[in-house]
Amino acid sequence: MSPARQGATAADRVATTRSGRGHSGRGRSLAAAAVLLVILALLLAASVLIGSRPVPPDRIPGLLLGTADADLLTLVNEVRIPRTIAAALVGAALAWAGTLMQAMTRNPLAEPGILGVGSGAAFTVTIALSWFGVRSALGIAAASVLGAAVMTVVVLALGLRGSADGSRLILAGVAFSMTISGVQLGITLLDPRALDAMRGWSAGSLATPDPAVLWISLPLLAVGATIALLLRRPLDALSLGDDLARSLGSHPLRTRGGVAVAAALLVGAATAIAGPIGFVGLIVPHLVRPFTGPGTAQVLLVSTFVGAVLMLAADVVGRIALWPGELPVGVVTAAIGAPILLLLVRGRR
Amino acid sequence: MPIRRALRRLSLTLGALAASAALLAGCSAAAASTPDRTTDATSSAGFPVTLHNAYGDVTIASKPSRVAALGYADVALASALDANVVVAPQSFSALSGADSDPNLPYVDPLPEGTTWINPMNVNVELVAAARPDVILATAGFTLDQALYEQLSDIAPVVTYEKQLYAATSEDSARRVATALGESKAADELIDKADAAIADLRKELPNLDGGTFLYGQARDGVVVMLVEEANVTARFMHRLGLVALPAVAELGGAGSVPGAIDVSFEQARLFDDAGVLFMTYQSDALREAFEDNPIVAAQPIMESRYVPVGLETATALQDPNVVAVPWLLDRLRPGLELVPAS
Amino acid sequence: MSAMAAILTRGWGWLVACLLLIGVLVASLLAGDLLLGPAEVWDAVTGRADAFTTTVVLSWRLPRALAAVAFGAALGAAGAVFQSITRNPLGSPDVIGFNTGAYTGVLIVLLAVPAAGFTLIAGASLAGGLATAALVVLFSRGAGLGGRTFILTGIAVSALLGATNTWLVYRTDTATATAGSVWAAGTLDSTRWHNLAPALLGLAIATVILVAVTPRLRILALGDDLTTALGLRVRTSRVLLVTAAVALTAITTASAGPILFIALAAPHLARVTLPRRHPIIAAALLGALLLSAADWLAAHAFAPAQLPVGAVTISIGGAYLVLTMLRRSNR
Repeated sequence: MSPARQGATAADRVATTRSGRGHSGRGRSLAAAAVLLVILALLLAASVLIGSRPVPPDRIPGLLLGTADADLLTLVNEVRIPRTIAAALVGAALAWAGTLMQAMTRNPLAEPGILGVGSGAAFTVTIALSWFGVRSALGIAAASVLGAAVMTVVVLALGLRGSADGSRLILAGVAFSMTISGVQLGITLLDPRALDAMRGWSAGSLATPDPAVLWISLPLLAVGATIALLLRRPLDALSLGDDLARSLGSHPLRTRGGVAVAAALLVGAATAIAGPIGFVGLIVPHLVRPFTGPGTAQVLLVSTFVGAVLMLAADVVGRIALWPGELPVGVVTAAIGAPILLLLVRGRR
Repeated sequence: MPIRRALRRLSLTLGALAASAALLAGCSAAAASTPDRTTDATSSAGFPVTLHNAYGDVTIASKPSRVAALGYADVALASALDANVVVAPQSFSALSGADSDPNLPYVDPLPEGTTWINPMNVNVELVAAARPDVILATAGFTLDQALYEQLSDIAPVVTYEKQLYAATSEDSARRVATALGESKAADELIDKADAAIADLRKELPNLDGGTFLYGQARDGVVVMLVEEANVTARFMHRLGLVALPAVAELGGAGSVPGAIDVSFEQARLFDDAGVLFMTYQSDALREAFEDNPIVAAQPIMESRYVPVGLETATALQDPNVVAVPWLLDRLRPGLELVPAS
Repeated sequence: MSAMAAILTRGWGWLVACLLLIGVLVASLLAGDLLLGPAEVWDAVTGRADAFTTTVVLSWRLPRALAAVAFGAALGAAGAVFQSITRNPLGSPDVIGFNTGAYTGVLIVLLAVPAAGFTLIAGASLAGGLATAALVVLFSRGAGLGGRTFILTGIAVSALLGATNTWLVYRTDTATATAGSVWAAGTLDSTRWHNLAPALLGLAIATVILVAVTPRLRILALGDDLTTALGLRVRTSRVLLVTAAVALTAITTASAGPILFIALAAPHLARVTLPRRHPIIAAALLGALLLSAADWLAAHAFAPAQLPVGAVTISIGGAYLVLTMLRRSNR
């Protein structure tokens, strides 16, 4: 695109985001959100009722009143409901992280893993499983968060220096990601138990959500989401280009740092809950932007629901596709997401 | 000038190709002359013997005196047949750091100078350094055609006929014994294993018609080994046990042949089994299974749940005739729990 | 410019690189768990050693060392071509999902065919990779090669196949999972003349094509408009170059699995250390050096355990990128 044309569309964006977008823009976002709420409600119900052992519809009143038999109550209260909550949280968190990364790098191909958070988590989990013999779900979750945190700090420390544009940050993320994955690969190939343990974790799964893990993830998600919301206007400004953003009063360097921290918290928490789940962060913004426009706040709002919907759908499909077994949710998200992305890409041309 | 440089590079490449072709010719000549072997003066009965491997035929000219074993069944059989084992695979526990002793628990400890290799990642030069005159790999995990051909440069290689785990344990025993020139001794080992099983069935009549479940827990799913196609299930069938119909008849696909994947949510189905044997890929997965709310609520977890140790589970993946008495010993406490039908 | 840089650009860089390469080659012949002294190795090379030593040196170590040189050079050259064509320093053949598709092909064969032979696995890798590339091109028909639609399609197809691979590895037994993972990491274990010779032949053919078209690369770099003005058919040149680069990558991947990073880093390193007049040859030379060094480390640094060379290249690659960034930020 020639610079003149770039400036023109940028100006349009400023006009629409700054002046409150006009009624049609906001109306469309709200309508989309309403439709999504309905779909979300349906999927939430489906997630609680459908599974390897389906809940018969006639038992539902009993469940609500607490009079159904013990094992059905256990199934719903201690397995399905935590799983549903986990799926919704993970989906929303990843969708937010993807939106943030794409806005920060001004690159629609960016995804949450680009900062290397996923490889950092995988590395520490491998070490925890094979060298320290960590057993509890909480321990693994903690290892995952630790890896994500350390990786973020390192990547930020290296990537935010010098020029403030996003390419150095991406390069730092890719560089560290590669080094860490290489070392992790070496470890798993030298120790067969580590290989076995990791190939399960790497598939990404919501099957055994530990309530303790959900509890420790909530504050991380909350902090990450808060930072993201606080940075929504600076992010809008950033999309115009660093110089224009500065002239509008933003600090691109600080914005990027803050956004990276927020994304890392969101992805770290999501990985702690469900293991590495790819693709959701990449495609949800693409699904949402055609309906809401590029404004960060609107995209974040709608992508919360779209992310949760996608994740819940993937989880439910995973539970019945290979009945009586289960398909790991990380596999399903790509299986569902890739065709959607392809359709989208072709449709846009 | 770029073109001249390019031409020079081209000629270098072609030259390298030519050189390698010449070396190739030289190498095949060199490889044809196999290393010296000390021939056993006392017996050459049955030799030379030709065996058909999945990757090619092999001929063993005379009774081997230095044996390299690359698989667990191989080292067990070779050791039990009194062969001179110079290369052996480390046990799974030693590989994962859980134990420092590389010897398998059902094999007599091998002498000090034995070369230990990683069966999941065979170091060919280590094997070569031990100068074996036959290489046994009927249970070689990571054997493929490239590795087979490279090992064949050292010594004749004996491996499976069709694929890993396809042959019965008796056939494998006879195969290894033929290669080592000890066919009669193999029959004795097979009889010993059969006798051990028969004795156990006599001592524990509750096994007849009793039901079992043997599964490997992964995240959220148990891979239940229940069908005849699976080696472990077949072993249980030999003890008189039957896979629990409630699970076996669920149908559906399994992650490995002869298995059915069952979600943790269906744990209620496990309750009626005579005994529930479970193995785990990691301690973390074991906790995830035992702590799962639905699984923990099942009465069988208090009474007839038996976690299977790493070595036992590995041995059960490919029960060779030498391991059978030891296996029965390890499984016995769990087998005694099966209620009489 | 510092004195060091001046010396390097005067062509001594080539000499140093070649000497290092020869050094690593010799080191590969000397090192190994079958301990051999230099005298014995020399005897083997000149044909005076016993059959056993000769086998180890000439049938095992030598083809492996040469494979590292040849494949490293191929990957370096392919990387240089891709980076030039996509005008993107992160351009690499995997943007079309080639490696992921190759892995899918190999996994399917490992799971479906008992005791699969080397040729079958190599063929499956080629088929999988090429089918994926064709799929991506098909789906993004109409959009430009290298454009955003193309890359997005590549990512989508790659992700889908990647998930398939994760699932296939997850659902199989430990032995097959290990075999698959080792292949996916890229390995030069068990390289023998038997398997190497066809690969070398294929690489030679691809090199011929590349050599024929290389001079056009510099003109293409001037931009499409200028290229057409100079009478060169942009599309044909691009297609030939990409074909040669893909062929080099495909053959290497079919023989040794996907070896990452060499294609990415060798051109960069070449730009920094060697004169810029012959970028592709420089990238090839450094690629050969990198892969040989990486393979030496993979085979001997953790003896007696052996790592697949791909695990080493990834780690080294990342470390190199990190160091570059550290150095750049200190200036």
